Amino acid sequence: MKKRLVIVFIGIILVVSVVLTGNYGLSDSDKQCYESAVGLQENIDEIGFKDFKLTNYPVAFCDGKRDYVITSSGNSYSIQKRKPVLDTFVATAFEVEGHYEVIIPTKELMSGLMNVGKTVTGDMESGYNEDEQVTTIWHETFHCWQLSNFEDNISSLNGGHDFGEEGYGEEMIVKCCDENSEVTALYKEGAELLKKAAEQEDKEEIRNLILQYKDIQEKRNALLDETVQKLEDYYTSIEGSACYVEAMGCRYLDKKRFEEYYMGNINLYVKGSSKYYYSGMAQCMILDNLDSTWKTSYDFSKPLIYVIYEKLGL
Amino acid sequence: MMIAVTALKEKIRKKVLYIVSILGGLILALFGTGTGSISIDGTPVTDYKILAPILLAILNVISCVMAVVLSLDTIPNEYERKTSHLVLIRNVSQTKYHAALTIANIMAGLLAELILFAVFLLFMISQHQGGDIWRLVPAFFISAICVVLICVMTSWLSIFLPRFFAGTLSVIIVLAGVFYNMLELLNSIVGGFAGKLLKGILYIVPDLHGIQQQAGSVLTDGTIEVHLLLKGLLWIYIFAMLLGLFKRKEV
Amino acid sequence: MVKCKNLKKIYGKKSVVKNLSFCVNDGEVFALLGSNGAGKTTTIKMILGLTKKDGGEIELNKDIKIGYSPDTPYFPPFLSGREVLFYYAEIQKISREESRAEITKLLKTVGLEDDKTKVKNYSKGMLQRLAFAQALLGNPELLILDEPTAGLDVMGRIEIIDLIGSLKKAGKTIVLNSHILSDIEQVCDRGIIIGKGSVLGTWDKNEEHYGKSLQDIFIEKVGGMDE
Repeated sequence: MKKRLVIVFIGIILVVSVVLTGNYGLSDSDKQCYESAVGLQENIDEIGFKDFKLTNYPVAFCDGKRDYVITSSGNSYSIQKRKPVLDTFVATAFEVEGHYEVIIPTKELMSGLMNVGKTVTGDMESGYNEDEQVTTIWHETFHCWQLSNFEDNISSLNGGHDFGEEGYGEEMIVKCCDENSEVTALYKEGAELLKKAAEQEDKEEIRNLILQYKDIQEKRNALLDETVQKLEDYYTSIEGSACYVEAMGCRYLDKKRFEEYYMGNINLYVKGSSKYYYSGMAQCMILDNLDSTWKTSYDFSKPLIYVIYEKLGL
Repeated sequence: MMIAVTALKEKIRKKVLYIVSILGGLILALFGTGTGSISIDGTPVTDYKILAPILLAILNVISCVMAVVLSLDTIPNEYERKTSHLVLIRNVSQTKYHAALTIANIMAGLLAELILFAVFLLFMISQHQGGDIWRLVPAFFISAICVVLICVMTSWLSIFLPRFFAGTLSVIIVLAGVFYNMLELLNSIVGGFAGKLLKGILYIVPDLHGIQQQAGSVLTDGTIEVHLLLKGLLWIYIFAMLLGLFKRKEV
Repeated sequence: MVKCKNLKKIYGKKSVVKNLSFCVNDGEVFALLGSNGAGKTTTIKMILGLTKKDGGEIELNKDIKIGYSPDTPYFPPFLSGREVLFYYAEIQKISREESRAEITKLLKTVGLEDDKTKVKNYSKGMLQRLAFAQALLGNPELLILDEPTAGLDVMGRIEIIDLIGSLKKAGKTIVLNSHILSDIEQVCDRGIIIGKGSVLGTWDKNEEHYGKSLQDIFIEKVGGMDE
């Protein structure tokens, strides 16, 4: 009997210890990411998008079992648990009960995803870090801002098509652009010109480069269906501008990474839509060089490149 | 205790312990000495702080598989050879008997782990980490949680499942436990029935990866999550209770 | 000493022991006689508590010590005969001092005085004698011997039969499970013939069986059943 009591007692001690040492809320690491992201607001303000505030949108960290929704009020924030609104693992801007929220997997989950294929230990230094989580929050917050303020314009930008359907847009890009060698070659040529223009401060030089780009783009568009052109415009302007915000955030947090990762990939060519994130970002940087106030009036009703053409009188 | 010691002596005399230990040691030596190489994104890993946890992870996988191999036969063999009859008629309960044989399995598993740690010690010396050798002691005890857990679990399964099924199931659980973080990730990505299935699997599989990571942290001066170690101990407790509850109908 | 009444054992749908009843008196050598698969070993396992009975009753003297020698004994091959006996003595919680003297005596009794030889070098007969010795540890009142001469050569059989004879003389109660009729006739006092789990007949050395030998009775009972 005494032995049995000791065994039960050990069991109780173990269960209690496991419960007490467990982390059953949002991890400190994710809280810290959120706080760092909010701390970046002043720097993001300098970029110049009007009323673009992180604290205007709830940020939901999803750990696969629950969403931990952070809502800001004043200088403090509260965290509420709920059932995950998405049943898949994705960082996105998502409409919940009439407002847009940032949905982002927890840093631990994001790290795991980034490390898949690299190692079985999940303990690599090359993994996903806090700064990346912070800039991803800003990327998705920008989408919340876009969708909250310019939903109709965005809809007209993509010609009323529903590209949101899973895989639809990606499939079309791969089929119509990436599998056409002539279109691909022209894209690569254009991306080089955009890179040079983004790195150029001399307006006349930028004009020359963009003129060449326009010529290439016209040749390229002649090979593409109008729907595909709309799709490219959508990705370049909507995702490209979000990528630009993300890159600016990174520039404040880790300049070395900004140079290596964002500036280093500015002319990136990969199959699928990712390349437009960088070409869109390049276009935002070109606009910065032409007129730093462009963000106060840009409403996503037309592609970024048209704004560049307008500024250069092309 | 006599039963455990004799069963252990029998295991020590069997070649399987040494063959598997030497094979495991060779694999470790291969990676640790640069004869083989571990690459991340095509770049060979040479930094001790990165390499050590990876090697320890490999060591842990080998130790766990060895724990299955060493634990799988002990209890069924006793019943097949009917040595159980001569023990059970001497007022020894099945629970005590199984517990004693499981202790033998644990001791054999830990011995095999010790051999592998000796190889790891050589790796540390080759990496000029002699000053950190003391860290192997806590790392050994943390890794031992995995080995003990697998020994107890396999012993329990071997009471009522045919050898092939008990072995296969144990290896599946070991693999799922070693890749626990991957399963967690998959669980987050995958929805629907597969997601629910994965969630269920995560509940019934011990997080061996988490425990092994803590051993890696000890080696590289990182922080330890006590919660994961306590969870490991709780799993051992659960399997030990199951071991006590399950009895053979026919002996 | 042992009283079994209407013993039953069912494996799945197969009834291997059906209403088996017999009684073993103090100091006698009792035979469970039957062909392979007759249910003898299952009956022994039920008496030893190694398998649960599905019906009937087993009455044993209170606090009775039972020694058991299995049909195919297996001992850790790396141990010597003495070490094997120490192993079982320890499990039986016999003190070291007590067991030391007892083991020396038992090894002498079974003719295994050379206690340095490892079990792996034992012949079948030696293994069987060692099994006897472990069964005798702690001086049990009842000995259950399962096929003690199976697989032995002539000399081995003679040795074992002699050993059983000397144990009988020493006043032990023995239940002997065997299908070797000559062995039974030689050492047993009484017995039952089992077939398909039931008692087919009885045999008593001291009774007149109308001039029939044990072999005649066995063939009559078992052969009759087979028809």
